[in-house]
Amino acid sequence: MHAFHEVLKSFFSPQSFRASLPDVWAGFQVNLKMMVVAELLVLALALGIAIVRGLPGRAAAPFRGLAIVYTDVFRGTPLILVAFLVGFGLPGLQLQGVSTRSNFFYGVLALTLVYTAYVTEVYRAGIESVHGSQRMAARSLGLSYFQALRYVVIPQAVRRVIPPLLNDFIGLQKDTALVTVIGVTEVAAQAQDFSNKQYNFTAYVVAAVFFIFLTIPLARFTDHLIAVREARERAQAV
Amino acid sequence: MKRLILVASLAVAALAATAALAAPASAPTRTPGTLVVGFGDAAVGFAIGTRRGSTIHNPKGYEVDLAKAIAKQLAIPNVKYVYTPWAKLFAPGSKDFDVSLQEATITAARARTVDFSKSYLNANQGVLISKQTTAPKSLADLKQLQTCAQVDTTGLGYIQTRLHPTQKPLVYQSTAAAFTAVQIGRCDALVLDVPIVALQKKSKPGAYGPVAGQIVTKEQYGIVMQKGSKLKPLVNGAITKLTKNGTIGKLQKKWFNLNFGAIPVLK
Repeated sequence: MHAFHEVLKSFFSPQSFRASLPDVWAGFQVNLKMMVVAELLVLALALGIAIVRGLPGRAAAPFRGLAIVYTDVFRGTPLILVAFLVGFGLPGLQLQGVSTRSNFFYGVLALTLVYTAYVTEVYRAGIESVHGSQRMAARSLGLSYFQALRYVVIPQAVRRVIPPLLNDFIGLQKDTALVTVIGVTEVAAQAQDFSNKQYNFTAYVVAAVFFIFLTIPLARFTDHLIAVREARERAQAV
Repeated sequence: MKRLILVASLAVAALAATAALAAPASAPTRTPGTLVVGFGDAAVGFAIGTRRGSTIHNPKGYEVDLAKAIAKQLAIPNVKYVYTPWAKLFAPGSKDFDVSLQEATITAARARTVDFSKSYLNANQGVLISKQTTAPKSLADLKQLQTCAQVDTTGLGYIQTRLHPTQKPLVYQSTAAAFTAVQIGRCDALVLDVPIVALQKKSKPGAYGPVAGQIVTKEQYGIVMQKGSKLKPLVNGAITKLTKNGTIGKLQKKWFNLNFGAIPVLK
């Protein structure tokens, strides 16, 4: 019973909750900014790389190869290592333009590099799941390869992979906390600072609560989309 | 025959009892006969060794020699070195070491959750600047610079509670990361204990600007032990003896050989 009381005091103390709330909220706003900026970049870039990955013909082979290397390298490297390489390595090069950015910039860069690789594969799965007859029908209507992609294939593909895209977005939201290691004062850093001074871990719980409040609506929305999709695909002709 | 065996066994028992009573009580370490010493990340001049799993092989430094000297004073035959992360050092609860020497400044807040020994080194705060920064001549100059610090250090506490710089400090998880940040120009000035920055500057003079100054905070390093540790009075006694017989002075000269007093004081 005493142990349970200690756990409550250490992790769920109401005074610490109230005391740490302003600082942790200030840190969380940095995470919010990072995740929005990174997600927009990721969605755009990943679509581009997925299209490159699917380019037909021998002439496009080196580009396809580059796309494969990119996704393999950045899906295979832990985000924390990419953060170190970008957050300490790039400034260390002392190159103009590249080395004088803020830590926020490097954090977003690291997140974008890694999550673009994941989302590229998601898009690719979506594109390949669109039946080949769609593309052939588009070609026979006189649309070029890229027009077929733009008007026929991609719209269908993206609609199909919205649930996995949202899934990766939820992952991105939480991984923004990792960039604390390159010196960005975001929510994990603020929670750690409070915990170190007060010897109470409630600040971490506050930070976790913020994240959960953010991801739960998104997760339920994803479920809803999946359900709607299932209903539509199984709809019987009346 | 039976009587002979009985007498013999009684004699052996008596001998063992007297031997046990006569032997000096070994120091109350976690494992009797072994002093488990916790070190953190490598710190130039204090403790540098090779990390393998949870232990540290072949560490060398001022704190290593001091730990060995204390073990000798307390007649503890074996010394084992383990890795103890800085982030957990002052957290309340049981520790997986007997003593830890990690250039830990004695503060009242920390003393609530761990036990400190007497001081084994005096340390003010030092300011290490990057090569591109002009040295601050006063604390007012320092306030204008982009400062950085390591998490959960008194240097960070000083920046947050006493210095109030114009820009928020950058906070890094490890000392090495903070030094790298200065080296690559991410921050202009690192506020960290003077012995640590002075030794780092001495070991890599080309990577940083000078140690621009020190801020007098009259802080001291103490050995960290679990709260309520029975070793505390013994360790304090050992430190007193080693100070009196000059061992600590000799070790400081051997490893530091720096005149910390020569660094200008920032006011």
